[in-house]
Amino acid sequence: MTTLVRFTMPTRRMLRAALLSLVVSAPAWAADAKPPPPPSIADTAAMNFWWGDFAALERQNTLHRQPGSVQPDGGLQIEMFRTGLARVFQHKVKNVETYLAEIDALTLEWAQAHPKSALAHILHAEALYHHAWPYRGNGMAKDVTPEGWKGFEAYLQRATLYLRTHAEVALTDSHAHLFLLRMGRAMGWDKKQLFAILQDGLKRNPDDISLYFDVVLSLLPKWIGNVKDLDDFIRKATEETRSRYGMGMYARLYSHAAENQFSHALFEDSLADWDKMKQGYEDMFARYPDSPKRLNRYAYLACLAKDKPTFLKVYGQIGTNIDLPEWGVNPERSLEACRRWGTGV
Amino acid sequence: MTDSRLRALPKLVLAVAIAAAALLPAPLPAAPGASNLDAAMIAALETELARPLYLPREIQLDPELRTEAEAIALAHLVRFSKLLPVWLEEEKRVQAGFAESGPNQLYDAVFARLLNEFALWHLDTGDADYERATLAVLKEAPQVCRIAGDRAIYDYPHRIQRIQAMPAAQRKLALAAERELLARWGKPRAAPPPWPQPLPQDVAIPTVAGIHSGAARPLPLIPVLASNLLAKEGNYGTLSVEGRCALQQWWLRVSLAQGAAPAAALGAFRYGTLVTALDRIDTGGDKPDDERTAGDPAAPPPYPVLGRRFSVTGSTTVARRLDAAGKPVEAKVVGRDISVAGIRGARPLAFENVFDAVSVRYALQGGAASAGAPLPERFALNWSLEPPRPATARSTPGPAAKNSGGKRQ
Repeated sequence: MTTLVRFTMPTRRMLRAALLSLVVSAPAWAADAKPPPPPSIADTAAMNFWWGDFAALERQNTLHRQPGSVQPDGGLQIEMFRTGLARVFQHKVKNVETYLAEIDALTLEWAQAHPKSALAHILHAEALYHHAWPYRGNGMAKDVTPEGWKGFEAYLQRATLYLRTHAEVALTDSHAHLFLLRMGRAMGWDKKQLFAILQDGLKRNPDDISLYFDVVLSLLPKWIGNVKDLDDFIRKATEETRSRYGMGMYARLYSHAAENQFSHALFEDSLADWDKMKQGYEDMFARYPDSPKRLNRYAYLACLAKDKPTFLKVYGQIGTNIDLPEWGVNPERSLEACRRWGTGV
Repeated sequence: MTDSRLRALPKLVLAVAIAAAALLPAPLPAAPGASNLDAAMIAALETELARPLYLPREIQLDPELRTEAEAIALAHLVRFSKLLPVWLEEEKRVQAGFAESGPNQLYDAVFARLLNEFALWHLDTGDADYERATLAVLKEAPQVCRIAGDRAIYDYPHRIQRIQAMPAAQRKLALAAERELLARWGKPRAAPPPWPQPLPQDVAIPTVAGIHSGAARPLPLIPVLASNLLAKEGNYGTLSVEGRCALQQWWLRVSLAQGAAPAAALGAFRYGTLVTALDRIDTGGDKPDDERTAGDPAAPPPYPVLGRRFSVTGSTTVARRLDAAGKPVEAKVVGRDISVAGIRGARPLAFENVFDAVSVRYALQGGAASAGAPLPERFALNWSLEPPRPATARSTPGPAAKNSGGKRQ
């Protein structure tokens, strides 16, 4: 915007630069501006959804579902895409009901216009699923009001019914299976059902290891599982993915279990085996060495396992690249306690 | 231009003008005062011309499209920057008889003319194919309203983003149409259509409010609008430039679904997204005048800073709705007859809404007339500045005009 101060900056030299810049580079007033780094997959997905650009979302989904679509740290690109979508569904606003009602309507409009699109149906089912949660809230079940349960269950049922109606199309994309696993957890489905969904999802997309992570959540003692079920499942998942990740999934799935339930007591309260986890991290770094986040997590878990040599080695590799969220709950204290324990100062 | 006039310039302006002159590549003429200043003015105008035509690198464009679009813009800049000195000379002749005429008045008059070209260009229509393709993109491509890079520069980028969203086969034709539309700058052209009544946003916003209250939804809102207008209970004024564009795009789709003629829907969109002088020039919210008249409902509406700076005069017609007690509950500008120094032979489109906000505010304040009688439901406000005096009447330069405020008609 031009200001009221006259002849503020422009000079003929600037203009000549401006004219030239239209052909070769940025103009004089933008001379210092470097092009920003390209947005991440998650940012792009969130922005496409934020602007209601479903055609762009379809293109992204198709691209990131291709076999071998992984990031330098071994993370799935399709998982980042879904992370971006979740940001729009979980956008925090004052009048969440009116916001989510529009998302319901918008996704339904797109799905009705594109009945052969798996993603379109999944997005509408997801919209209904996310609409359910404000009724329940994120607190303890005992604190949910009867009206809250009613609204929660009504939306979950609508989501289930919708996906069942469009299952033939929707289930061609393992995103639908991931969605069903979450629905199953919310609605208390049993292990058998969850395993069946997992197997079908892996048949559709064998690369989609995010399904394993979701089943781990359901098998946590706080949901429908116990430590034995969890350990059996993690060992099985590790075997099924050994050719791609070695023991990597053992480490990652137990790390996920720690993050979502066991926390600092992982090795006391679960059947996690540190030697196997350590091997898992080594296998992951052999395949995907560029992962500062995972390095932080490895150090944190080595600390929990009281493996001082490993902790010191990995902590030294981290150097100044500390990634606090990887250090468990209360990460500042966690990190400081581990550092003191490891270095003795 | 004389040395005494040069001395009268504010110090900052003078310093910048001299600095600008010092950077000129060509040797300075022997009589430096006027030439230096002219050169500085032309340079400033050229930059104002170039800025909205720049395509930021953040905009994802196909390389071929970017190359062609930049070539079109460059050709336009080269052609049009030759016209600016001609306009400046023309303006000098026009202002020759006025004592208040000085470098700033001269510059502003030519700048106003330039700003008006941008506005006329925005409303201008291309050939039938171009219009059809533009409408199709606005219906189907939600992200053409997104702005990358400097958000104050979005005229040309928006147009090229729309072309990027067109089918490849359509792009060449659309670029040719863009070239043709730019070629109309500075030439007599068909009069733009009148302001839509009501403005698209004045219908769209109540429709969104209706959705909030449970009324039928004509079309779902995209998340950026649902969040800002429904969940955060914002209004048109709280939307960003891109948010406003998105709302206009939504309303275009609604209008078409409700049976509006395509040309009318597209024309309304163009008016809804028109970048006026108010959008381009930061006036600090017209604070001085607002403060002066705050709390005095009988005072005439303040003269907008922008209006005074650019010598905008004329009248606005306001229609308002009163409740049973005679209290105004809604007001809108339904007529504008505006003149601007420097703009001749064309509607001063870029300035026609300069008085809208103050007129509406005045109409909603109750409109206590000086004689105590309430204002009617429809009335006109006249906007005039102190008429310029003959050159001989002033010995020292100073502010060109005194605010006389809006007067009821």
